[in-house]
Amino acid sequence: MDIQEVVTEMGRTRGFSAVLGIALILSMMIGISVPGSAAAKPRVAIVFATGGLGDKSFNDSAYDGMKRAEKELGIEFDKVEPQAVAEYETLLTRFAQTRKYELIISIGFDQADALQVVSARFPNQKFAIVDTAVDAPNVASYVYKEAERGFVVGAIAGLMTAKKDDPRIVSGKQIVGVIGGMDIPLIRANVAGYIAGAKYVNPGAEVKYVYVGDWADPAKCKEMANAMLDEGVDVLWLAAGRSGLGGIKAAEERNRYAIGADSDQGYLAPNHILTNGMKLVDRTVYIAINDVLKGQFKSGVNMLGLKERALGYSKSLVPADIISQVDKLASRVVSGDIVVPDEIDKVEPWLKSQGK
Amino acid sequence: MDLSGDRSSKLSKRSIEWLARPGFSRFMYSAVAVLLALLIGAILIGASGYSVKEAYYNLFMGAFGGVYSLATTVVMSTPLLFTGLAVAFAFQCGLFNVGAEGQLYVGALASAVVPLALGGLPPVLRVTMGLLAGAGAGAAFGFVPGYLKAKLGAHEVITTIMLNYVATFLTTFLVKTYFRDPGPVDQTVLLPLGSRLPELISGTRVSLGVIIGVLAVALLNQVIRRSVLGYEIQAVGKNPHAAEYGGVNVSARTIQAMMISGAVAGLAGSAEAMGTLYRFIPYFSPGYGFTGIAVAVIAGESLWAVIPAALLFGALQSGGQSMQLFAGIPMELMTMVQGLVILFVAAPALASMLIKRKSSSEEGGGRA
Repeated sequence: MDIQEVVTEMGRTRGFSAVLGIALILSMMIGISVPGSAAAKPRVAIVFATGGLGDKSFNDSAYDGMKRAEKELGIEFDKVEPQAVAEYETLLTRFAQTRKYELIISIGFDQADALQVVSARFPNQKFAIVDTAVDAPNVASYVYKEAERGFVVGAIAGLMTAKKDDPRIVSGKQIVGVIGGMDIPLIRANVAGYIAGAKYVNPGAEVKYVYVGDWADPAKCKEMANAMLDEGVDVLWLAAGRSGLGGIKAAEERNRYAIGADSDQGYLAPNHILTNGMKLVDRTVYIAINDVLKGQFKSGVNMLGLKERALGYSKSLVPADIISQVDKLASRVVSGDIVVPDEIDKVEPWLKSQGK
Repeated sequence: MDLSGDRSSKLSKRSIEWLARPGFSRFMYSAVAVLLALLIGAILIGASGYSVKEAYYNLFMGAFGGVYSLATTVVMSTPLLFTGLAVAFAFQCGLFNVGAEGQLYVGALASAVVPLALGGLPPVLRVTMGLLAGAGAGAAFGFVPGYLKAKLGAHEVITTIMLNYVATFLTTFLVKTYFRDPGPVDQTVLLPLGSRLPELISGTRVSLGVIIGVLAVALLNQVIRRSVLGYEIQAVGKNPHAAEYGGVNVSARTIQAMMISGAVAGLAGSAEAMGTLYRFIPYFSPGYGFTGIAVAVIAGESLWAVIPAALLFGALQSGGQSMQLFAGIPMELMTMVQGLVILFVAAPALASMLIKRKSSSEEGGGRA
């Protein structure tokens, strides 16, 4: 045995004892027993969208809803923040496999593929998905009456553009606008509601609309916003996902009003975000859990709107007189007195039928 | 304590030499590193107010407890198997391919699109063509830095990093402009059943991709150990000047090595697009190409070692999921534990590799 081999042998034993030593410390820290949970409370699981917590939007809002349900409905919940789209399916499967959750909630439309597959594999597990529809007997899809949200912010815009004493309003023009992310039914319903709302409260108002064709192109959106502002638009709603950031910037630079979407975007331009067309995901998650606990789980599409307080607006910079008018309108939508049209072609006939 | 530069550098050199000794079992060394990382991870988890016991119980069960957990470990190892192999193969030629991420993206898009265009062909041909398209796209993206290195002397680290941006933005652009599935999400059309890599264990997404990955390791190992091409690539990796003097066409071997590396990274994208996601989604990769670098560094000189190294990271990812799901450990802590493993396993291994290379180049310099 030469020196080299001796050293090698020493290295091996030293390495081995190091492994043993560290393993020993670890095992002492961990203990040998297996953790057991004796939870009698109903359990709910939630899989967030890939943006993760801290997005100041869907995920954070959904988390707030879970925490409220924990306090008020007495549930316990587990949550997970996926890092990649490819993880959705495994995460949903791992929750479902335990068979200890009353409900598993998916946040966001890009989980639809994964949920379609997993829900078929676990037919006895109840699932809920927010903001898109999955057609399965054990999935409750919660989507929104988008037109109602458009109607409320449209009414605010229509009233605001008639104001005379605000430097952010172009006097005498009364033109409002909306920029949609994509020309798809969901966004068109928002636009239809917006037009209906603005003209319902202000028949003299003109409404311009356009689509970016992209959820994440702020530069293009800003260009479109500037073109609208050139034409005299003074209240502009950005229903365009991340693209909307460009439009908000344009409105701020030109000293006009912008309206945010989905969550409160006031922090982006505190003096120019008039209001936000809110999707209250926290409320939606709460409703989904409540439905299951009350035994009222309904598979298929569940439409939520102003009535369920899953849609709404933020008071932000809206003057008090407009708030009171809009709240009255909203309560008429809730009571069913006003049924907001959800297609742009139907807005004109609808306005006529309302005597406008 | 005397911390004069002389003494401490001598000390650290000694300890690094101790680690780099050829006799020190690489496996044992990696085991120590993993356990050390878990130990420090335990302290961090405990200090953050979580139960260490629950965290590590779930980490273990999530990676190895039951068929589904094991399968998930395999699924999460599969892309790393390819990207790790890609980087390790380029290492053999002395090239540091940081561009596996970009090569993976172009490969994934090619594999998600080509089978759709071949609707009439039988499934076997469609899948094969999809794989070839992915490998081809990756090879094309490997050719560019290889060519720039061979002909212009542009360092491959810089060019591959830059090409990563080109690849991610180019694929996103192509999807939005030409291959978009109508609907609210930017993604390609779902691949029909006959255009997917078959699932080996039903309901787990363990696909044929993992077998292809192991075969790729075996094949490239043969190339390196048994072929003239492999011998010459290794010669270039050990000392390009000596290789050239010995009659090896250094620029040709450099380009070929980068193309093979790119093709393998492209296949990582193919396996994801055809075996896991069944479509291309912009920004789908959580950094498989970069984790592949860590895998390759752990694997070191041996291509076979890429397999256990990829499994290690797959297990951490898969177990980390459960840790998050059932022990409530936030994603950030979980990522930190994984980072520690990379740090402990990869950093000293990298150091020892550098020492080896330095001493071998010193020897080479002496002879020249």
